[in-house]
Amino acid sequence: MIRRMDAVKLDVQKLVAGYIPGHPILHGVNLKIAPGQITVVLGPNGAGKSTALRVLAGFLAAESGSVRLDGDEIVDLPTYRHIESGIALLPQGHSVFPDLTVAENIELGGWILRGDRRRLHQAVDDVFTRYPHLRDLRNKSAGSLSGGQQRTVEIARLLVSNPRVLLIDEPSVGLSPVIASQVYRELTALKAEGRTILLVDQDIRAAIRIADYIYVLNSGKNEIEGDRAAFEGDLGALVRGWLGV
Amino acid sequence: MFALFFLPSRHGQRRIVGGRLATLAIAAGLVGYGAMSSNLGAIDTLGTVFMYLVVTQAWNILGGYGGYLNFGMVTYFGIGAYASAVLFQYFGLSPFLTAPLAGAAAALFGLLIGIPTLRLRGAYFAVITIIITFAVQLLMLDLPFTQGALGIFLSPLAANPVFVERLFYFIFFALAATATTLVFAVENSNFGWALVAIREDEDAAEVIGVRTTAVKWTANALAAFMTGTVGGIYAQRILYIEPTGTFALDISLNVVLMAVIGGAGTWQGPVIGVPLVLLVAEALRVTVTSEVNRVIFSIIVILIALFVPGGIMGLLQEVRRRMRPLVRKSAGETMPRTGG
Repeated sequence: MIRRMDAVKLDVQKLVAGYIPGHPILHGVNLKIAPGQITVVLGPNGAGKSTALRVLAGFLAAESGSVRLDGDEIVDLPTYRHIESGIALLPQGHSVFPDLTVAENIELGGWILRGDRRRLHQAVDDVFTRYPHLRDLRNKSAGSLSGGQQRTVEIARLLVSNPRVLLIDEPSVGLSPVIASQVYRELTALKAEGRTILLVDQDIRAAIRIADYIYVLNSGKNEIEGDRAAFEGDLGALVRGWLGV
Repeated sequence: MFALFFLPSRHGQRRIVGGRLATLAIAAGLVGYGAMSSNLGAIDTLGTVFMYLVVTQAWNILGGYGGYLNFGMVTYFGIGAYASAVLFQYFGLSPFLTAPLAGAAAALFGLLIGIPTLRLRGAYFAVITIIITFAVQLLMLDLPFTQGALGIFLSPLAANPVFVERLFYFIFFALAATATTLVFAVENSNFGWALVAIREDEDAAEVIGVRTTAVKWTANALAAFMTGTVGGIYAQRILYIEPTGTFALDISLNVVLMAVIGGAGTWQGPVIGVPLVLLVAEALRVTVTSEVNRVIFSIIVILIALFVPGGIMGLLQEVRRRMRPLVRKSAGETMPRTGG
């Protein structure tokens, strides 16, 4: 299935990457991430979903291939340059700074704005306005919060630098279904603001529900792809059968 | 320490000004004592306190703020001591010149050794720092210009012992004040926040854009420079260095102990921990003459580790935190402050 789109925010071509040189996890993965949409990457364990996300965030060097953001090559840039380019990663599992307060966590989210204190304070204030319940928790240590609250702090921290592309890795892991559904609603709201989202998830049903376009990886290669309608129809049954869900 | 009075702080101004005035008063008292006292034993002990304070503050940068527990600070100390001794012995350089060069030698070593070691985390990093100490110690035994186990003898700076003791007292005092001021500045800087973020969660720190590798290298090199400089001066003070004593693991362990007991990750921690540990150990050594003094000291350390994990500063901060609502209530403030 060939994807047709007018614009590509993030263009991944023939990406080869892994943790041990010469033993790649990704064997030439291709992804075209449309602006202002939610693109979901699915696949079984070991498919290379999180590895792809780590390369796109600049955490992991690619052996070969290309990653273009708005046409500019970024594959060899370090993590902080990716963030400066407007790409932010929400990693899998909890990533708050546990002994720091909620306010400190959120302020650290604006690390790349540290040279402009006025802009940083405005960005932090905007985030507290967006998540008013965090204002009441601002002096609590982040590690003492519930799992759902910690995830909100992580998302809030992510937004301080106002990224245009969000890379989200397994956002519902460890959360109750109610909290997880709130997280997915938040992702939809972020999309409505015009942000581009690349979501890697094991919760296939929830991910497909909010997806505009879906890629399935298997053993580090593109397996199938299509829009939500295709996956909710026959293709959905095919994938569920293939993944055993 | 004097500069602490003038530097800005992110804490409440009234409390800080009071604290800074007290710090200034203590510093002035120490200067006066060094100039007036004829008790050479006390001058010598205080000089040692200042020396350890520099090394412990140096450890504090990467260990306390960054969470990288270096159990091999004596490596930088020993490299500095040997660099100073060799430069003095073979090249006739002034001890006042050899000290910063000793610091530079240790910093260079710290930068190079940091390339492989700072990739390790947690216990792996701690263990490798001990192994490096032993490796460098063996190297000093084998290198021709270090004169192996015989060590290097140095000439005294002056014949008058009172003058020499006072001189080192003031040198170590000045370095301790500078180191403490530097750590205070680190604590209140973006660099300090970067280290704290690394300590809290290194991956998350990278996610927000902290250049973790550069920050760790800088912290390590800075710590190595400070420690190497002090090591260089130590060699000129003790006038004889050899591998076993100069690279004694005790020094590294003491430094960690002092920082942890005082409160790692705060500039005040080493200021409290260093004199406390040295003076308690000395008092026990004098009053309990058998080896039992070490057992008692160990028990005290274990009790502190168990019941005051944040060190004395952690305890004080906890007390202050619990007192805050009472103070607010008495001041008529009944609702907690909220807002962005």
